[in-house]
Amino acid sequence: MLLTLSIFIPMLGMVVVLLLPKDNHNLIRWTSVGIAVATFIPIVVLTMGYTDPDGESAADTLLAERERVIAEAPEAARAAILALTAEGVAEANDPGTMSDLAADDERAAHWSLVKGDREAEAAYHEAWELAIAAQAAISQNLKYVEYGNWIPTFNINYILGVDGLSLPLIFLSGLLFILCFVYSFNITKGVKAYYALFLLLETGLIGVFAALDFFLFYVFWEIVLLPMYFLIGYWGGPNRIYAAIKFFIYTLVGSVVMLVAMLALYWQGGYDTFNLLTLIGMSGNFDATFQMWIFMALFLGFAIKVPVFPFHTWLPDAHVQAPTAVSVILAGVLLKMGGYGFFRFSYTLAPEAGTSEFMVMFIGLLGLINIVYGALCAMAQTDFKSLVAYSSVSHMGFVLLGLAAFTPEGIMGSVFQMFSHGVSSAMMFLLVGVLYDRAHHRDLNKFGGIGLQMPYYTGFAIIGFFTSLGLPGLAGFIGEMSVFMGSLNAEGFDWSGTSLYAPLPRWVVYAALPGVVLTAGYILWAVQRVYMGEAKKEEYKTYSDLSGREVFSLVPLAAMCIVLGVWPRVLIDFMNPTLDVLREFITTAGIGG
Amino acid sequence: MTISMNTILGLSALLFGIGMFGFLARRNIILMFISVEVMLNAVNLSLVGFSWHMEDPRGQVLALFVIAVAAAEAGIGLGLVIALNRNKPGAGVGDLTELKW
Amino acid sequence: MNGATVADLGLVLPELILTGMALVLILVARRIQSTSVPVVATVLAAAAAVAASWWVLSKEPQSAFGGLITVDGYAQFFKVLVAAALALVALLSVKGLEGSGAPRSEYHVLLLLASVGMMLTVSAVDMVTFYLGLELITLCSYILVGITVDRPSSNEAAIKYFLLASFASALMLFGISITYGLTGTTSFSGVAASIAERGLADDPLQLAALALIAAGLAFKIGAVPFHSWVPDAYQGASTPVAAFLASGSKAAGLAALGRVVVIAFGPDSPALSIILVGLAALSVAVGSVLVLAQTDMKRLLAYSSIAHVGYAVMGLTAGTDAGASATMTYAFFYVFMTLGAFGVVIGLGARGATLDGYQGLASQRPGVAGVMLLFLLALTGIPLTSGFVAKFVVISSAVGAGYVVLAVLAVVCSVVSAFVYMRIAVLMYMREPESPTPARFPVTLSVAIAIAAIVTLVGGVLPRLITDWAVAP
Repeated sequence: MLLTLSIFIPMLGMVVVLLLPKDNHNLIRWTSVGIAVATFIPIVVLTMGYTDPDGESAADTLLAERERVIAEAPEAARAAILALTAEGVAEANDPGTMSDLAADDERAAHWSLVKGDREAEAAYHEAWELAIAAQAAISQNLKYVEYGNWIPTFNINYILGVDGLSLPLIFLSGLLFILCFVYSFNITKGVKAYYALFLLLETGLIGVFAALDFFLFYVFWEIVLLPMYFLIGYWGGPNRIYAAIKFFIYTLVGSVVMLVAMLALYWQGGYDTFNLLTLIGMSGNFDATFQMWIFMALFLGFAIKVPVFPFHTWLPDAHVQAPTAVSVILAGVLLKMGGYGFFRFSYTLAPEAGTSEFMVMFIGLLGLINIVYGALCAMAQTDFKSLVAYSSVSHMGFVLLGLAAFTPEGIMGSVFQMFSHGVSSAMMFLLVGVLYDRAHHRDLNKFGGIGLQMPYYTGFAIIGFFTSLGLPGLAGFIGEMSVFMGSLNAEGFDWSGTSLYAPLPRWVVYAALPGVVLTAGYILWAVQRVYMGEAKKEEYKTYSDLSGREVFSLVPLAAMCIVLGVWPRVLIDFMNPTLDVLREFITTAGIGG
Repeated sequence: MTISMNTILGLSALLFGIGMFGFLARRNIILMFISVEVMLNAVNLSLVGFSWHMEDPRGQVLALFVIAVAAAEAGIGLGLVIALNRNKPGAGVGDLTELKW
Repeated sequence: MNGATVADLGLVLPELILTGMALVLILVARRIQSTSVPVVATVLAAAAAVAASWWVLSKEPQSAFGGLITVDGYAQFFKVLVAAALALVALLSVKGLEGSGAPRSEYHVLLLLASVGMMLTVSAVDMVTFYLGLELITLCSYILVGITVDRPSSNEAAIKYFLLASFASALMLFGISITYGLTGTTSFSGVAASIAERGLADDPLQLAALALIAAGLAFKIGAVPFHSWVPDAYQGASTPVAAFLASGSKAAGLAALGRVVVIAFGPDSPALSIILVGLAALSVAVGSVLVLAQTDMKRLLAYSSIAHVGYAVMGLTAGTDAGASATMTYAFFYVFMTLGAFGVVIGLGARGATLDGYQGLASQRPGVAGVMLLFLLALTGIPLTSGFVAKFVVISSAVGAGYVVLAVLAVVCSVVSAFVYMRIAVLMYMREPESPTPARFPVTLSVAIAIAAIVTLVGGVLPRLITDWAVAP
């Protein structure tokens, strides 16, 4: 219930905001902040309760749904459905193959009670789906599962649930939206539409991380697309229309390819379901070629969002043109949709393909390219914002590298990196925005001496940029360090009993190491050019330091940078149980385990 | 005397082909229209022939319908040509150039 | 096969209502001065036809007139759709025909009679009624396209449409005739039985007949390569007529194609599948690419309709009942979204005719821009609009039938065409207006657009309301 609330409070809020008078800007702003806070409350409750071992597990919920479905089935077929979908036997009884059973098979007797009656067959399909999903849910450490029918004709359900992978991202989204709403008080053009679109965006983002039905996921994924398109296209900089269309088309290409993969899973997979957990439960039965196709199609969809080289070109354009708060959401949460998709969809639906020699190498190399190429590009920028944008490309490369390594530290570092990059990049975009609001330009070479004039601001800037740099003691270090340790360890790791035959070679990791130096280079250079030295223009000396609104947006992020750097276990302990089972599932599914 | 199905089909196909050629080769609206009429009559020929051959009345019924529809079509078509002629006297297909992408 | 009885007349009650209203309007045409009487009459007749088609199907599906037509759920579905399209087009015509000089009563008579043709087509299970229904649609459409006799572009469009359509009719008729000669029957189920019994599925003559019939139908629905009349006819015709051609005619043509595929030639016909895959792929690709070059709104919507017909045909490629119901769903949703878009074009008058006219619309008329955006999103196929559900079901059935390449082509083309729909959105929302604020929409038009918008939105959120009802013959 709480998950549904946190998804739909923003959508309801959007309607409320649209009904407010157009010219009362402050009313609109404060209402929106109120809605964002109201959304955050259930999220916090969920996060606090997640580690409670007594909570109802996903498997219990799904099995209870199965009981309900069976109870609603025609009476004659109930016992048969119960027997056919019992624990331990359901896998062998997928609805597609039931009709070919030999007459002497004991299941055939059960099936004959179900066969022919449309209602009973539908109930059997749903009960079977739930039985498999319940087993798969254990390997996903899921909680707070909600289940309902949406479009029964195509077996499309409304399934939500979160685990240690998605909940931190939902938490981050909830927090960032509050900060962005407060930060956006300086927007004066089309205030009502701005906040309404932002609220719709929040619904989409939280929905993406909570959906466990592929169709539902796809719908939320596309919902994210539209408000983003308008936010960039209407409130953005001079070249905003180009950037908005580029963003829209790139993402749409990725998502339609994903749509085909989704339909292929539905039909070619043979299980007639979009239930992600059911598909994951049966993914061991998909043959290698099919898995490869599925993996590649999903990979394309997610890679564009991440963004992975060579699909990254929309990102700098979108960031540079977007208003500050939009950049914050874009870098902080939107890019994570891609990374999240790898974990939740690509690897679990096609585990054999994901751990194949080719894929490990392919993703490792893409990670390497992202890290080094992103850093080199960042170094060449003179626009402050596009420097930060390219630093995102570089940092998301670590996520790929950790994934390719597939060691526990690698995976952990990769997810940690997603979260800490969400915090640090959001903070950096806010910092650039603060400066832009005063100077109305972002040319790195024209700044200088800001540190003397705005000491508090510079203090926050140091925290933000050094987190991104990977300074020990701040959040960025933990992610990068774990990724490097994990991926260097890949060759020496004990892979026996898993399907991963060819771990990521060390040279890929060594080749990526200069990326760290380059990162330090471009960040230190930028910090020096902007904050140190003499003021290059007289007007810089008139700048006031941070306003209360700006401090409010920056403090939580700075605090998270420091806390996660000093005491990373808060997050690691939260997500590690999930990542362990996930990793276990992916590396062993390919060998029929 | 019996006429084989193939003869009926061959004859009508020949007539149909003549009409089709006329439609594609001519650039005069009226001639193109008459070519279509030839095609329709080829169809009627085959329908009646098949019907007679199979001793089944349905083909002839359909042929009657086709004749009626063709008459309606002729009425409408000529009306449209007259309307065009009022606006653009003496226009052929080559003069229909207003709508183009 | 038994003869017709008086009771059979009860089964064609919707058609009779529309025909009756058409006759009444012809009789009183000269006496009517106001423009609203024929509109009200048409809308009432359409509503009565919907009610009647519901009443008729309260019993089991049954056939009438010696097996010439049938009254089943499939026919009912499309009859309701045709009646809805008729009513909406009648509402659109109030503003759409302003100052065009078209005779109002006769115009509505033709709309009514064309709708009768559509209803006959969708319930036809015999090639005789199938042909007659289609011809009734086309004959009325010729006049509708050319009804503004004083406009040269209207004359030109009508002549082009007339020549090509009569040619296509002749092709289809020859196919029907050959099929009759080979199978000895004209009823769809008889043809199917005879093909199976005499092993005609691979007979070259039968394949030729099939190709001819498919070509004729492809022409009626405007599928590539028989599409060249579509943009000309839409652009030359007055806008409500173009809307009618895009909605009712397409729906009826698709319904007829669906019956031909599923009942007459469908069972085990690889040739038909290949033809349909070709039509779908070409229509989707050509429509989506050529739509990019358009600056005239009616032409743009014409090319968009070509692409959409391609998507709709994709559902039939599977040749299964599920595929046919996917096409039904597609036709249903497409009719409403395209009518909505045409409605906005009509409402904006001269400004709505070209792409540039949409510049800055959002700041002048936020409501109008909002619904237009909704229809554009639906045409693109973005979730939570009916357009996504429609695309989803047809692409799904293509993947289910194993045509994954076709599905990939379809989704890629949907991205390509997204360019043009989003360009309109950009013009509306991200540019400053250059022309004065358009006048308020008349009530009739607003009602029609609102209905289309509601169907588009509700269909996107709760598609089961339609998908559960779209059951193949």
